[in-house]
Amino acid sequence: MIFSIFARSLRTTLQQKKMMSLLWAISFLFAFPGFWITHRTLNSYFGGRQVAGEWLHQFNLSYLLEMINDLPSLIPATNALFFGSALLFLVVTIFLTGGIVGKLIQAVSGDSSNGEGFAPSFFSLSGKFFFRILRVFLWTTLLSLVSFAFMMIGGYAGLITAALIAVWIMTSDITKIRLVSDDSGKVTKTYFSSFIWVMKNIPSVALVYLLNFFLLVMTFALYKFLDNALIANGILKIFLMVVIHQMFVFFRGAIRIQMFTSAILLWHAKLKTMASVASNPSENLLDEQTQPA
Amino acid sequence: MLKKCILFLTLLATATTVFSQIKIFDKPLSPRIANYAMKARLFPETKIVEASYVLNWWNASNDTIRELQFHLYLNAFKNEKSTFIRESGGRHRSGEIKLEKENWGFIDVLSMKVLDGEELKSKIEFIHPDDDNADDQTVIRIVLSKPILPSQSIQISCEFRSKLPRVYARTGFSDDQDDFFLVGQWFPKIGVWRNGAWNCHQFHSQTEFFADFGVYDMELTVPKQYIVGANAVLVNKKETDSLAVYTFHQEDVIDAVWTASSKFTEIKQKVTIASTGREVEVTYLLSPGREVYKDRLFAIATAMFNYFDEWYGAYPYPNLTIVDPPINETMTAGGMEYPTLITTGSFFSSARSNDFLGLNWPEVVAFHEFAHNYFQSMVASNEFEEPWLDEGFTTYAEHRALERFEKDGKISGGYGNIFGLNFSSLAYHRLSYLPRPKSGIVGEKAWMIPENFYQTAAYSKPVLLLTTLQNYLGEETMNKVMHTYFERWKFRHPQTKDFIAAVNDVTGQDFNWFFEQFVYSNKTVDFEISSIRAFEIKDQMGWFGDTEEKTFAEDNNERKEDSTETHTEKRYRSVIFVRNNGDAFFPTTILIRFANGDSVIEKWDGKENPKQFTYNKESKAISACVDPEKIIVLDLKLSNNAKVVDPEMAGISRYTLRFLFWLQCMFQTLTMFV
Ligand SMILES: [Zn+2]
Repeated sequence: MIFSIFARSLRTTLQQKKMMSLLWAISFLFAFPGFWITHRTLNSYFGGRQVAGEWLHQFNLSYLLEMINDLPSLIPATNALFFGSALLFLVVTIFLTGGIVGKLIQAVSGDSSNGEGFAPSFFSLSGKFFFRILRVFLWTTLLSLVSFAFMMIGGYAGLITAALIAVWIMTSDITKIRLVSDDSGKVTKTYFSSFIWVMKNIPSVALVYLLNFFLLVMTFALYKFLDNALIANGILKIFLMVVIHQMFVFFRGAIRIQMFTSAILLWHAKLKTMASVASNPSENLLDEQTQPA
Repeated sequence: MLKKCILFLTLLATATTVFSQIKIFDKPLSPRIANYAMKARLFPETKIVEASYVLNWWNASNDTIRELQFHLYLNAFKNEKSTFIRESGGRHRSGEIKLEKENWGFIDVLSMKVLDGEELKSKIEFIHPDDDNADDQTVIRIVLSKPILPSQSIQISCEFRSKLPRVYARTGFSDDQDDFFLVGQWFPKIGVWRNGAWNCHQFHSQTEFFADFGVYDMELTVPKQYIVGANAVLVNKKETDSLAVYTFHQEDVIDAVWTASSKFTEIKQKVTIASTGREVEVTYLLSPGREVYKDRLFAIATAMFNYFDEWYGAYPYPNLTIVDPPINETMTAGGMEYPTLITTGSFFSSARSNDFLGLNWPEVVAFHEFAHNYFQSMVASNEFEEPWLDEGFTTYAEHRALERFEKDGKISGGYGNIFGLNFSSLAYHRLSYLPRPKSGIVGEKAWMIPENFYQTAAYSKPVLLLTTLQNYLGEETMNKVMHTYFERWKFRHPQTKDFIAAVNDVTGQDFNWFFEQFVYSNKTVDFEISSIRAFEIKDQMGWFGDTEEKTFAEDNNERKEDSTETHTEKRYRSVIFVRNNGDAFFPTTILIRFANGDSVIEKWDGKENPKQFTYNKESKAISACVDPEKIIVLDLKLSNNAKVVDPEMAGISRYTLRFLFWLQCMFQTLTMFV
């Protein structure tokens, strides 16, 4: 059952081209200011110097350290920029998650022809569930931080931390799916009942997530292989490097979507029910009607 | 327990402590001034070492000596009033002394007398020669009723009890689960009589140990389950029902240290030094979890004996012990040097985190500590008075070993290859020097160096200045210099002037200018190509030629913009300005390249500053580089050493675009919980 769910979810995920592109685009958009400022600073600092030409062949950390030493405000400024954009990115991702989960539920139930374009329904779902998903996120973060206590013990206790964090991620995914599909406002209650559900179904939930994790590892391995094989010492090769990098970011986003898709299918399969999507998702995405899977 | 101790002491008193009959070297390598025959027993439960020794000390000077001075190093850990704790605030590296009763350490002299003669215990007086801290008990003085005449020896017998501290500054015991003891600076150690006075400094937080050479015999008794290692050759091991007695012997060293643990994995390996075919027996004592470093340590040991043999001279001892302390004691017991015993370690508590982060800490630490066997143990300079001769030479040797190890393909990067970025050890030392080039002077006495400059003065700037010297002289000459210095000064106590003499003698030149500027002053160099310009020379009009067949040149003066093509009839004027923004001078060269592939190397004595170079050629200058061979790594800014007319900026994009990718990946990781 799990493998067929996995295969089905992959097919569904791959159809979500707009969603995948959106995730990639926001990562690019939010990382861009940090990149651009660094790029400009390096270019103006080393302008006219031979440094860049040398770097094309071999990176020399000494030069970079000289720049950092010379521009003492650079590191704090970069940090502020980084944390600022990271925070914004986080908020935007939380915002988009409602749309992602909602649209995926529609896609899984085969109902994506609701007359509206992708964007309006996606963003209205995003807006509707923003605060609920934010609360789910806060729960997961809190529980994960608490789980780090095991890491302090040292040794193999670190594995408990890893296992717990995995459980919180699974729980939070199931919670989000249930909140969206039931249009429920009871975040805390749903979170803990999802936790119980995850623990009850831990073999199948863990297997689905392991398969997704394996997919991520394979994608990373492929990226690492290509990145290592390519020595970007010319304009064309640098372009190729960028393509490899951005492909990895794109697929990493896709795997995040795939995690949701497979979790939705698993949830539905376990319930032996499938929600039917209301015709007007902005009003009532899912009613309480259920039908056999 | 106390009963047991008393019983043992009686045993010690009745047993005669004798010097062993074993010989390692046919001829003594050193003057053998301070020779100890020791007996010690470790009581692991109380962290106490009950011990006795007979010291045979020889007055090698022409002075009549009326008093003796001894270090009682362990008293540095006795209470918060010691100079060591006051200076360090109870911290050393990441270690921190914790307040529990058993964590403090001290040493009590139980009896001391001239063998078959005067009783000395009652004459012991604590002194504090370096500061006004009357509470410091790390140095004692004993006024003798009968002075020691030149060339005369004195034999002193002593019983003492050493309570080991919790290891936080490289001596002591670890957590019970690790069951690890590093017994260093554990016995009353006689000072060095030098220039008519005792050189016997208090134990300070920044400095290490200065001592005379001698022969050491150690008989160490431990519970049977303990494995013992020492900085000496194992002569014998006897076991009774519950105890093990190890007998060690070493010659021509300046210290005695040992370690014991019930958890060690012991591995022995013979390493051959290629140039002579001589073998050294290396004993590895690995704590639990550190076995994963075994192969790395083997490779390090094999390399270091051979590198150092090539660069400095022969390692004369038949043994080396490498101790890898427990994971939790990496920073407290790791990274310590003793003659023929070193402790290694890696920065991270997890053995695998090094590999993951691509760090070469095991290599860095092992090379460093082994280098101390040359600089400090054999070439026994005074770290307290000239720290750079000890830590600086050692760190330079470490840097050189890392570079060679990388060249030999054994590691990637110097300090590491962190996510694909080569973090060279040179970059690390420049990072230490660059922000504070004027803050202090390398050749200063340790206690005169500002605290925020100590690391730079003792470690990093010496690496940069010795590497600069090596680059300037060439590797072969530098090896000759180092061999000369080593051969002249091994088993003796050299000073900076002795190293300068070695440089001057080997090169046949006067290098005082170098040391005056970079060791005895805080002068700096910062070369810069401040501008490079090239423009077409207007054709000269009029008649040309000496014979009757003159040619007439017409006005052809429209300048062509920025064309790098060479036209046979065109000529270009290229003007290059080079300057030194620092206040030290350094002779160097400038490499100028032209569009047609020509290049010129100019010499610059560095005194005329700034300096202009002008060329009228058929081709434009396209780049200029001062110190193109990167000899002067002391240069405060290497990035301004070369200027190009048409810079290739893609090299920057290569890394900034990767940075963009990293940012994206970090953002994605951050939102893992969403
Ligand atoms: Zn050192």
